[in-house]
Amino acid sequence: MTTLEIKNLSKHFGGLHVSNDISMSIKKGEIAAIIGPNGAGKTTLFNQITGYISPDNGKIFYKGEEITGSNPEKLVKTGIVRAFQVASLFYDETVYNNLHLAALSYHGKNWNFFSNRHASRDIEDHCRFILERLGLSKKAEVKAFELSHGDQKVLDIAIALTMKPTLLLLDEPTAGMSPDERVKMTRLIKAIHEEFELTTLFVEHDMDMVFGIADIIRVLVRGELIAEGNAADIQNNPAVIEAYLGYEVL
Amino acid sequence: MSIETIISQFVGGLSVSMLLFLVASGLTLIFGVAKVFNFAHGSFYLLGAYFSYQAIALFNNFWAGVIAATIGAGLIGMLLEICFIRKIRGRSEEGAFQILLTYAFILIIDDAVKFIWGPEYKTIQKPPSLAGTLEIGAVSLPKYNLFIIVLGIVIVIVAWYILSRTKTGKIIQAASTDSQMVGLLGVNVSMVMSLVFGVATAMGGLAGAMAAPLRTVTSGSGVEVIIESLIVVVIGGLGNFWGALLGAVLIGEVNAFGVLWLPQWASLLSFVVMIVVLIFKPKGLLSNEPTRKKI
Amino acid sequence: MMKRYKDLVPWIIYFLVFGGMLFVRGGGHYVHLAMQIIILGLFATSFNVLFGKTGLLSFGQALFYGLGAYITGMAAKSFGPDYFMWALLAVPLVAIVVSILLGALSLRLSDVYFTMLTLAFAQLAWGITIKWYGLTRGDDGIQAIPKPALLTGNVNYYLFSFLVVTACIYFLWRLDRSPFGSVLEGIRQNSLRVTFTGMSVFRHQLLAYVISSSFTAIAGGLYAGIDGSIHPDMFYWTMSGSIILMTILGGMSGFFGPIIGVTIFVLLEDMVGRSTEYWSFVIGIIMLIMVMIFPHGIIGIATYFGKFFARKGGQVDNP
Repeated sequence: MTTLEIKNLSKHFGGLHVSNDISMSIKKGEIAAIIGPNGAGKTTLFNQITGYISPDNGKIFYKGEEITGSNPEKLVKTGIVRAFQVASLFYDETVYNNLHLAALSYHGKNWNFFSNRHASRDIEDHCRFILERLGLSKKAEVKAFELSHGDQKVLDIAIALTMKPTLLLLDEPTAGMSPDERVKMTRLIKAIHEEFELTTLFVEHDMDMVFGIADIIRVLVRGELIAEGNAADIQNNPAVIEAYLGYEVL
Repeated sequence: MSIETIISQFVGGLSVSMLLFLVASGLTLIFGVAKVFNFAHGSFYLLGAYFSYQAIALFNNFWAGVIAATIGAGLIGMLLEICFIRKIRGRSEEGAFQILLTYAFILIIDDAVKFIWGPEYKTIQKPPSLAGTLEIGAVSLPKYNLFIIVLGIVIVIVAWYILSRTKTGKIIQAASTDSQMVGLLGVNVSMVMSLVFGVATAMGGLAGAMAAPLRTVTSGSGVEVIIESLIVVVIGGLGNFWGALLGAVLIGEVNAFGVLWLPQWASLLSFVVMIVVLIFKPKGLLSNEPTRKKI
Repeated sequence: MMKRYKDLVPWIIYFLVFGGMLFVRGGGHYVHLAMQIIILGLFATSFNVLFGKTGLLSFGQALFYGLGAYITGMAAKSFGPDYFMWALLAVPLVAIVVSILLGALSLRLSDVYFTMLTLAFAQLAWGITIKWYGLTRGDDGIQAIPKPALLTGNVNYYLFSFLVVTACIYFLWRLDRSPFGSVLEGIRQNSLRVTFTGMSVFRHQLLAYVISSSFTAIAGGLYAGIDGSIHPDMFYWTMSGSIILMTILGGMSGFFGPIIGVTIFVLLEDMVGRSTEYWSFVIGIIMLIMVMIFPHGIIGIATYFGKFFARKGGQVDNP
């Protein structure tokens, strides 16, 4: 079954084609990776899938239904949830409260303006569960801005998970991390992918991680998909070596 | 309506436009380059008018007043930037605090002016060389208004030249898009910002001095001017130099012809124009910014 | 359990201070001041739902203050004292309609643009009120607004305002601690993330704007009854400006900050404002000091010293 299908997606800013006739599909339960040099249009692709910007041309289908041009907030409610390249948190709040706000939204309590925000046991259990699974329980009362960089990225993903996604999009989950943290993050992504029965699409520069966990890898260069396949295919693809790997080595 | 009336209203409107442009372009320059919303910009207009009054009282020369107004307002502008505005840079919710800080300047400058020069209205005479009218066919146009229009056009050309043809202008423009980058290139960004602040407030002071013979000088006029200039820059697009010019001409002429059409309600027309523009073009007429932020 | 008591403390102080006003000896003047404080307190607390809570700086809330006052004033003046109460009930309803309209227009813009559009709307309302003499009596304002017999006299009217304001403030206090309040705080800190947790930033802001504006209008309606005299300057931008100042003075990050700010401001104005012509100079300086040194207001100063002494006493901040 196909979770996400993109057909002939195009977007340009001025004369710059950031997405050029991109087509791809992601099967249910897959871990799919997108790699490509900086400025290849990876984040812009994410922004279009999540409804943050609309494509100029082309269509996006989610579980067989067209979602092109939907609001991001509606897409989140249908299960398309993203995490960010730079952890996007409520920095003055505690770790717990960061999840709490997401949980309020998930349980549809966000319009309630008269009851105590901490009254609901369901919401509390929901947050505690996510905290525990992502190993943040001990830091529940720490303010988000006091966390280490690695923990901030984990919290960013935790907020996304609180929304119980079907399709989780991760924008460079290991960006700016130490080698140790990268290994942990890779394990974490694999673990939550299985436990929460997700379909995961991620953008990444860390090749060890990409080749380690992705079922399918796509290469995006200057807005165009130039290759698609498993780790071996990509590593041996001459076009990729020329356009991408060569670029990185330089 | 006769063609003569139309021409004379148009010229009257245009001279008001140019004065508005002097204030508004400073406001927009500060916003564009330093990302500061200077709510107190009208107060520099006010200071200009009073400095000019003072200098004329001392030297008995209109042009001494204009020079004193320009330099005085510019220096005070730079001083306030260095002592206060710079200090709250980078604070969370900076924008709101900038508005509040500059609002405090308005209150302080308004009363300081009253304290120093007294609450009564002041009048400034036009310089003798520009008194009287110029007859063109059946239309007679005040020389002073024509002079303001010429001055405005000269300033537009000079500003355009500096901003787009000189190194300083390029640094200013670069600082407005990416101040960090310019800092890395070894340009002293804080100094550029203080300088821009000084030039912009000097233009406000100049406008105050030039407007003084047309309007009475009173401590409340700074507030009237800032609201008019706000309308102008918001219509044109905040931070956009040409937008300020377009907005100023639009508002000046709307007022000039509005008075003929709806005498009682003319002063409200600018608000209506602004609201209509913002509804259809939320970032102003000359803005092509994307409506959503980059992630 | 401890937490419960902590929540009660500000309320106990609130009732002691504003209830106590009724018992001040020879307190005609003080009851009059207390009326102003409590009504402006409601205005400032409502304003802070937008500013401190949601991070939206409106420079035009005076529009709703004036609107409330003029609806009440004109109704009672034209139809008689009995309509004072009916008008007061109609005020929030009219404010809801007006604020949905203006909010939907101005919330499409962000930051400075939002601030300036709210300012423009309020100035437009002020201009219309001044110019439309036939309806509003223009710059003369409306004097001798009649009130029902029950509400006549300073003490009676104070008691009435106190009850209305307290009910409103209680409602806003609940909102402050509610899930909806949580969303507003989220919008202030990171609106992008709120969008990506599945909530519409615009709609939550709009509801905050409507609630804030409606309570502001109620405050305006109550004001019309203090001296029975209202003026177009209630719409003027300096009115919005003063409320912003009072909010910052008290502290925008605490729920009771704005009321504290209003109390201090009104008392100061009563003491200093009467003895100097240069009152705006004084408030300009206060504003300057608050913005530069104490952006969190008096509440911020108090928490700072609270923490300072707690640490000296060997206690730990974080449990």
